[in-house]
Amino acid sequence: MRSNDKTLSIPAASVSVKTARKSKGKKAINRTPYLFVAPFLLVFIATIIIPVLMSLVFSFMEIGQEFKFVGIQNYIHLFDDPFFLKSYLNVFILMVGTIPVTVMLALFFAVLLNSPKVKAKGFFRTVYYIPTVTSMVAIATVFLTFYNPTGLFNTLLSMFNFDPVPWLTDPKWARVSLCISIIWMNTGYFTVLFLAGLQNISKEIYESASIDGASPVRQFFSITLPLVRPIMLLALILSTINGLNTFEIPSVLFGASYGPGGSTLMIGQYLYTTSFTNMDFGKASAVAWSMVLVAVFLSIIQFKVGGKDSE
Amino acid sequence: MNKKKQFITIILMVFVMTFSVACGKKENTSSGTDTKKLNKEERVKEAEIEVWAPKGKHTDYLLNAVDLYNKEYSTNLKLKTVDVAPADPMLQKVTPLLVAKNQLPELMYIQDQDMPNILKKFPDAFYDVTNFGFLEKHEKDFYDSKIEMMKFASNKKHLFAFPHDLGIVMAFYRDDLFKQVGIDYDKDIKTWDDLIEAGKKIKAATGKNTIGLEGNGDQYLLQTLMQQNGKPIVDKNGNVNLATDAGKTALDILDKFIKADLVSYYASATNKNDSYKDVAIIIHGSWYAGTIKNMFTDLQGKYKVGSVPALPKGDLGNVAVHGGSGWAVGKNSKNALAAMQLMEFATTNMESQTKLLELGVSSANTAVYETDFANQPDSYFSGDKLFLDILNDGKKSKPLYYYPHFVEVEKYGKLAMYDHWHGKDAEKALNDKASEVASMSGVKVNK
Repeated sequence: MRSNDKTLSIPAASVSVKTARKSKGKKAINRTPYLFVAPFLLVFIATIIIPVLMSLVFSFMEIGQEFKFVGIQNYIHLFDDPFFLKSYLNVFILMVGTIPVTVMLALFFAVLLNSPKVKAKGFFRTVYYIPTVTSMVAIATVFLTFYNPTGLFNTLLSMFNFDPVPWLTDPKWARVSLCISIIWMNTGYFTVLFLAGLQNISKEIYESASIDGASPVRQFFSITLPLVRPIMLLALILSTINGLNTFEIPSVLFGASYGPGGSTLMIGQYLYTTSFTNMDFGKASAVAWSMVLVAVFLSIIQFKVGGKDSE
Repeated sequence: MNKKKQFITIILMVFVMTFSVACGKKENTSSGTDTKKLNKEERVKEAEIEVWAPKGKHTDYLLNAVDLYNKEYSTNLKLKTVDVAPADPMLQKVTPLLVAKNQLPELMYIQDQDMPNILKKFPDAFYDVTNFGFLEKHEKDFYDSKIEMMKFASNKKHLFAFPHDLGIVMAFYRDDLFKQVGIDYDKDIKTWDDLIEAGKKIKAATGKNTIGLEGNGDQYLLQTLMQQNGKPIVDKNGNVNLATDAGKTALDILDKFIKADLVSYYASATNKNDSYKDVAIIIHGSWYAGTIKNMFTDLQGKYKVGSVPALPKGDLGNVAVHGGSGWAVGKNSKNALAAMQLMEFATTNMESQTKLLELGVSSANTAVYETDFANQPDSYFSGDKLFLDILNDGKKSKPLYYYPHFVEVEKYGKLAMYDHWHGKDAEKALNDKASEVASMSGVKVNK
């Protein structure tokens, strides 16, 4: 009560001056961080936000010499083209074929590299990471020579008396070829990602588990896996987005042919063709936004399924 | 709640601004110059001309043309070349400028089959070469098929590029392999059936296959055979010919090669050279002669050039064409007039055109094939007069009708071939795909 009385005893003029100072100071403090982020924000708005919004606007337009608003016609026309849904089907088949294998292989290599018994970790880390920084076109070109009827893979198979495999001319094998190349290219990146996660797990947890008699396998399933779950979720989301964006490798392996019977046409290639071969920019923007929706939808599912305990 | 409202308001404002920017673009008025008037303008004495083209033979040809032009007219034109690959990479670079109505380069190397889509979306992108008076003066010098093809690229049936080259489909055959089994290609191979029989002998004697075939559907051979039959995949009215007897005949002929095990498969255009190097005959556009020379250097003197075999029954004497390109002049460019004047010279001056042949390009200008250079024997092709052979067949060539949906029909043709090679009846495969692509493109299926 006394303190209240004290406050009340402060003259009114003094209160108003203090409040003014306080509010002026607050404003000054609030402006500074905005000034710091402003340059980035302006560039971000100019180069990312506006183009993204423009592509959304374009998806409702027919674009040519003149811009014509066509409502949702571009989205409806997508479903008239059998290649649109086929390209999504191919992407999902590719995801099913690559994501689990890539994640499992990456985790396997990361656990191996994290072992104290492995020497020259830096060397191996670099070696595994090389495919990530190598040009995808170069990788695809090398794989193209391997997949040739008389290329490395069939030569190796013939050494073991196996029949040659039609790597690039049979729909099933064409997808396998694509999966092999993509798994090879992505495993290193996720290995390094998992390794960073593994190195953050305290050794004391493993030590106490050992004292309690947990075998290395039990330790992997009860300690390692739950603790790298956030990284795994990240890996799954990144792989899904990468899968949707697959473009270079099928383009080099199969050119404009989209693979046997259209079996390797990816949605990214479909977008490119719609845009730059058919010059239908409105429809291409609709394709791009369908990709955004699919990516968001799949990410939400992944968060719901795998993200509950990983926060 | 207030903050949320503010955020939504800001997003809406940005969206509305974006929408206004997108919709508010006005038609470019700087390109309104009438091409007919350009023809009467005085020769530009000094200008820099920017060219977008694949670096190499095409740009070398233009650099030479500029030198000749400057000497001829005492001008000081300069060429600035930018290396842009043809087809999609070129469209990828040109179309954003057209959408944004930004300044274009003066000259662009555009493939004939890409032109209809550009002109459909951007009818005012390039200067009208017909209105410039080019055809009036020079039409007779060019292949009829080339001019008709280029005219069909636009609704106005005018040329919107200067004609550059034309791929006449020729047979590049391994004379050494044919001779090994006692066959003289020129005398003994008249029809595709003759070729199949010769191929069987070559396979037995040397183990070599007769033709290379894209395993996922070979649109080049399909188109060649259909054009020979007088029915290109898209007809003069834009309707689809895949389901006609010409499509069926094409598949039947290719089936004979497959059944006789005379085919070397490849997966896509990217790796076709490996397959082509190992077969007795390459059926391809004449521009492939240069690729053969560059890629298969160890086979010098073993190849010869001939005509594509005729259809076994009722051949019409038609010669197929594959591809070709032209030089488009950007309307919204700085020195368009200088570029138009230069290209009229480059495509019709014999010294300039001879250089084009020297560089290995099959010019669309037939007059140049009468020069001494064109009549020289080509040592790579066992002394054959390559360009004379091209001209002789080229005169019988028929046009392709590059409607905007042409590329889609090509794709569906490939899919039909693939379906057939994997068990579907030829007629049904062709009918199904023809119907699909026709309904998508809003055209009819010819039977």
